[in-house]
Amino acid sequence: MRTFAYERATSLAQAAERASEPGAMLYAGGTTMLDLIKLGVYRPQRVIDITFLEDPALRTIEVAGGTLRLGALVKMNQAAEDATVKDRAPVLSESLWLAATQQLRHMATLGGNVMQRTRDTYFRHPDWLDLADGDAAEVETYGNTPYGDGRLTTVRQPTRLSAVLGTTETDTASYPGDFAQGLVAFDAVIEITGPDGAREMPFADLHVRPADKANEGDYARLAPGEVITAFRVPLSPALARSTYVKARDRASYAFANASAAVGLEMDGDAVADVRIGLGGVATVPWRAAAAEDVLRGGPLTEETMRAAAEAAFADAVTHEANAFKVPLGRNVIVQALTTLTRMEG
Amino acid sequence: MAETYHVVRDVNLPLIGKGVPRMESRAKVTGAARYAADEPLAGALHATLVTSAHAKGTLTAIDTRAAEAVPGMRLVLTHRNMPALGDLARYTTGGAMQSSFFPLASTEIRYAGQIVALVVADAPETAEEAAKLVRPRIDGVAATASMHVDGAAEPVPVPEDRLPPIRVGDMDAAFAGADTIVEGEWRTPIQHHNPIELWFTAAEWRDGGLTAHVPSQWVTGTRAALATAFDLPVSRVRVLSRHVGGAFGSKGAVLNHTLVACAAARMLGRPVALYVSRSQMFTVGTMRPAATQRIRVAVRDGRLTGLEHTQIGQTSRFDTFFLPGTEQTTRLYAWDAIRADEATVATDVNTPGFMRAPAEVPTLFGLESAIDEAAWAAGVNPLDLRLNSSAAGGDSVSGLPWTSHGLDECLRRGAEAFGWSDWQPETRAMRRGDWLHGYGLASAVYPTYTAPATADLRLGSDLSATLTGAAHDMGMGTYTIVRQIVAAELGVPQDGIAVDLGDSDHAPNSVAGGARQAASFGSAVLDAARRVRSRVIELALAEGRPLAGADPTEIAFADGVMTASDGRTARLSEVVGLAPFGVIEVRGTWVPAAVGMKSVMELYRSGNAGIAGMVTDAYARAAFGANFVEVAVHTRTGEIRVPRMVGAFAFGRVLNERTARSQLTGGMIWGVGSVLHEATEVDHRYARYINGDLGEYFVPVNADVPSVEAILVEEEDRHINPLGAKGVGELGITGVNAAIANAVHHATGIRRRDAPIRMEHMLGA
Ligand SMILES: Cc1cc2nc3c(=O)[nH]c(=O)nc-3n(C[C@H](O)[C@H](O)[C@H](O)COP(=O)(O)OP(=O)(O)OC[C@H]3O[C@@H](n4cnc5c(N)ncnc54)[C@H](O)[C@@H]3O)c2cc1C
Repeated sequence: MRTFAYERATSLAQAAERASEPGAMLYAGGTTMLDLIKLGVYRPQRVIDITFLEDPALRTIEVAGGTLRLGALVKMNQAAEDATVKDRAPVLSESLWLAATQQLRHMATLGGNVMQRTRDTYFRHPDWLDLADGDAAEVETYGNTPYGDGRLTTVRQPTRLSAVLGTTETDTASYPGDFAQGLVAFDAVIEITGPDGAREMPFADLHVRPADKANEGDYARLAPGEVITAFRVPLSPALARSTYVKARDRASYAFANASAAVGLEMDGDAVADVRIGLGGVATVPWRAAAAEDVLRGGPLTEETMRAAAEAAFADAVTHEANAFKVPLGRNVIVQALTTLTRMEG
Repeated sequence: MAETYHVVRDVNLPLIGKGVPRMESRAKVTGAARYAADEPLAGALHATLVTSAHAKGTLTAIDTRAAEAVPGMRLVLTHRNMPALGDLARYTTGGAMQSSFFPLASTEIRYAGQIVALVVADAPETAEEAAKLVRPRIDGVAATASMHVDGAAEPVPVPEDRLPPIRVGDMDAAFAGADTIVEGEWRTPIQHHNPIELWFTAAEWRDGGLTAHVPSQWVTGTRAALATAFDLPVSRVRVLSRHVGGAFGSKGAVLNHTLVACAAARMLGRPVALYVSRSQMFTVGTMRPAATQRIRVAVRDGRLTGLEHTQIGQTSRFDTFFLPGTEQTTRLYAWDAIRADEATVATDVNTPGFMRAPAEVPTLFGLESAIDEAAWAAGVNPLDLRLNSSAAGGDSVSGLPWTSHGLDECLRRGAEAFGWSDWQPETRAMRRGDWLHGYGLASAVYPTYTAPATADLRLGSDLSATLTGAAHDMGMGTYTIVRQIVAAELGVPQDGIAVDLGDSDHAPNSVAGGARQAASFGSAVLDAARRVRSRVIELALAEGRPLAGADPTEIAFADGVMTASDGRTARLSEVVGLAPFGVIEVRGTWVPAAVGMKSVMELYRSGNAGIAGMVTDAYARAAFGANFVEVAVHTRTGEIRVPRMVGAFAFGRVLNERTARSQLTGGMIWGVGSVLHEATEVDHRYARYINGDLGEYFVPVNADVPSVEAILVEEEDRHINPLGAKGVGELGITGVNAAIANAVHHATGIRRRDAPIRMEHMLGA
C-alpha cells in the first residue's frame, strides 16, 4: 500500500477545494475506498474525510415540498430504519436493508454508496494487468487507478456476474449497488457542491455508461472536488407503494445477481404509474423505461407483467457465463410487481 | 491383529463426554490467546510474496531494482540468490512437503500464483509496496488449470502398486439381474480451505538453531522438513503453534513459503515475519481438487446390489495426488458386486491437498446422489433403499466385521427427528408461498484413522498437573478434551491441569489430520494418566503406607482422594508427596495394533509413523452418519436456501459433547457452502483463478443456516482404542452435498449432477 495523507475537512467548501487538487479523493465511511486502496485500484495521494462535517443538510432526512431529501452523509443504516423513508419510500429502505451487512451499513454513507465501483474481478485485481497487452502508461483518472491506459480491456472477459444491459464489447462490468436503483427509478436529483459552487443533476446522469467513457476512470459525472451533498426524491403514490427484490447467492451479505426497484400506482384496474429500476444486470443503475411503457395505462396481469419483463431485456447482450441474468432479471421484475399487487395500494 | 480394549466407559468416568467449555475460550475472546503471528519477535522484519501472473513458462528475467530502491527494503529473494536447500521430500515419500516442486530453485513457472520472489523490509507496508515493483518477465505458454474443460489431459489410472482397484463379486450378474440401473457423471469444482487465520511464518535464527512460528496441524513434521532443508539436527529446530485459527487440512504438510521465510531470516540475521495474503492463499498452497465421479448403481427388489465407481481427480503436473474415496463408497452398503477405480488428470495448478473430508465430499456427492436417483427410479423410499442395503453385517469389500457400525441407527434416529415420514415421492408438491420446499437425505461416512501418539504428564504433590505434547488445537477442542481425560482418570480438578500443545519440543506426534488426533493423542493421554495412577497406587499400597494391602485394581480416585474397596482413604496430595521430589512424571504412548513397530520409530524424527485406516487385518473401521435437509427454492429467482438440517452421527465415544457437536454442525454448515456456494473459478484463457478472495469466493453466512441440529448417537466400540472414540472432525460435511442436491430435486424436479448448484440452474423451476 502506498502512503497517502489523511485530512479532515473543516467545511464543505474547504472539502471541495482540497479534493479538487490532483491526487485527492473524498473519504466518507471508507468501507469500499479502503478496500480499493489496499487492492491497488485507487492510489490517492491525499484523502479528505468529510464525515466530521456537522452541516445538518448533509446529515438529515426530511420531507419538504413533496420531496424526500436525504443528506449524503446519512448512514445506510439510518436511512434504512427511518420511519419516513419506510413509510413514503419503502423501496429505498428495503434496498439498504438488503445491502452489505449491519456493520457496513453503520459505517457507510449514502453518498459513498452511489459512488461505489463495480465488483468485477478484473477491475478489483490490478495484477490482471500483468497479462494485458501493450506497455503501461500513466493516465490521470478518478482515484488515480492504473486503468487509464485502457489495457484492462485487453484482458478482461465477461463473468457470471457481468452485466447484460448497457454493455460494450470490452466492458460488461456491472454496477453493484442496491440503493441507486430506487433513485434512478423515481427520478431522484442529486445536489452537488464543488469548488465553483453548488449545482444539481438528475441522478440518472451521474454514472457514465461504458459507451460514453473516455477511460476507466471516467466513471461518474463529477468534476474534481465536487461533493454530493444530498439526494432529492419526489414523493409519489408509486414511491409509497414500492418494493425492492434482490436475488443473490447467499441469504445475506451478497451483491445482487439481479434486482428490481419497483413502484406501482393503480387507477382502478389500470396502471397509473409504474417505475422499474434494475440492478445487478446493467453497467450503470438502470431504468427499465421500455418495461414501464408496456405496463402504463393497461391492466396488470401475469401476461402484461411478463411482457414488460421481456421488454426490459429486449436489448440484452449475453455471454455464456451470464446468460441466466436475462431470465433471472425478468423473473425479478415479475416477482416485484407480484409483491406489489399483494400490497394495499 | 485384533484389538480389544477395556474402554473407559467401564471405569465410570462421568467427566468424559461432558460438554465442558473450551479451556482457551476466554483467552480467545479477550485476545489474550497468541496465534503464530501474535508472538512478539524483537527486531522482526516483514516479508511479502511476489507471485506469477502466468501459469506456465519460463522466467526469463526479474527486475528487482525498483523494489530494492524503496527506502526500508532489506532483501529481494529470487531464484538467483535463494540458497540451496536439503532434500525436500513430500509427505508421500518420507518428507513433509506439500508438493515436490520448489519454485525458487529454478526459472520454471508451473502454475499461476506461484512464488517468484520474497520481498523483505522493515515494515509490512514497505514490503507490500516494494513487492508490486518487482517485475518478473515470463515467457508464457498455454496452460490448463481445470480438468472440466476442453483440452484437459486424459485421465491416467492411479498405479496399482499405490492403490489396487477394487473388484468384488460378479458385476455382470449384478447388473443383468437389476430391476433399476442409474448411471451418470457427477462433477465437483476446485475449492479452497480459506481458514480465517492466514498462512504465516515467523522465522528466528539463534545460535545456529531455528525457531519457526507457523500455524500448523503438524509441528513434528514441520520440524523435520525444516531440519532437512537447512541441514540441522531436529533438536536445533523448534516449531511453535499454540493456537490455530482454522486449518481444515491446509496447515498440515509444509508449504514452500515457510522455507523461503526461514532462508531469508538466516540470510539477514534477523527474524522475518511473512504473511501470505488471502488471494495468495489460493495459489501458494493446497486446495480441494476438482473431481468427476463416474457411477453406475444397480438395484434389485429394493436393495442396492451393484456398484461401479470410477473417481477421476485433478492433480498437478508434477505430483500424482489422489484421494481414494471409492474406498468408502464401496463399503457403505452391502453390495453384491463392486468395481472401483481411481484415476487422475494432470493440470497446471499447485499440487492439491487435503481439505475437510477430502476423499468423501466429492465421492459421496456422486454416490448418494446416484442412490437417490435409483430410489426414485425404482419407486423405493430413499431411506428404505439404504436401510435395506445395510452393511452392518460386515464390510462387503474385505468381508471383515466392523469395530462398530452405526449407520442404520443414524438413519433411523435422523429420520425420526427430521420427520422423514412426511416425505412423499412427488416433486414440486411442497409449495409455501413463492417457495418450493423439498426433503433430501444422504448417508455420511468417514474412515477411522488412528496413529501412534505420545504425551507427557506431570503430577505434583500440590495436585497441579502439566500435560504436554506436540499435538494441535486448530479450534476443535483438543486442549479441553485431553484435560478432561486427565481430570477424570486422576480425580483432580480440571483447573489445576495445565495443557501445553503445539510445540515440537514436546512429545512427538503425527499430523492432526484425518480426524485422528482425539482418538490417537487422546489415547496416549489416557495412557499417561493411567501410568500416573499406577504409580500413585504403588506408592499408596506399599508397606506401612495408608492403603497397604488394599486391592490395587479397586482404588477409586475422586476429588483428590483415593478410596480402597475396604473403605480406607488416602489424600492423593500426600501420596504424590511420597514420590521422589514430590512429583510423578510419565510419558504416555499409544500405538494402534495395525501399525508396525518399525514405523513407530520414525515418530520423533519425521512425525510420520504410519497410520491405521479404514481396514486393518482384523476390522473395518468407520464413523457413520445420516443427513436430512429441507431446502426451499424460489419459484421465480431460483434462489436456493436451506431452512433446516438434521444430522445423526455415530462416532464411538463422545469425548466432549459440546466440542463434538460443534465439529458436526460446522461440517454440516460447510456442506451447504460446498454444494451451493463454493467454487474456485478459472479463467481458462490464462489458467488462473478469478475469485481469489472472500468477497468473491462465497461461504455461508448465518442467514444461510437458520437451523442446524446434530444428534450424537451413542456408540460403544471396543476395538478402536482404549477411549472407544473414533474421529468426528471430518464426518459432518460428508453427506450434506448429496442430501441438498437430493432435496433440490424433491423440491423442483431438477436433478443437478454438477456442484455448485446455483440459482441459474433453477430458473426453469
Ligand atoms: C463486503 C461488502 C459487501 C457489500 N455489499 C453491498 C451490497 O450488497 N449492496 C450495496 O449496495 N453495497 C454493498 N457494499 C458497498 C457499500 O455499500 C459501500 O462500501 C458503501 O456504501 C460506501 O460508502 P462509504 O461511505 O463507506 O464510502 P467510501 O468508501 O468512503 O467512498 C466510496 C467512494 O465514494 C466517494 N464519495 C464518498 N462520499 C462522497 C460524496 N459525498 N460525494 C462524492 N463522492 C463521494 C469516495 O471518494 C469514494 O470514491 C458492500 C461493501 C462491502 C465492503
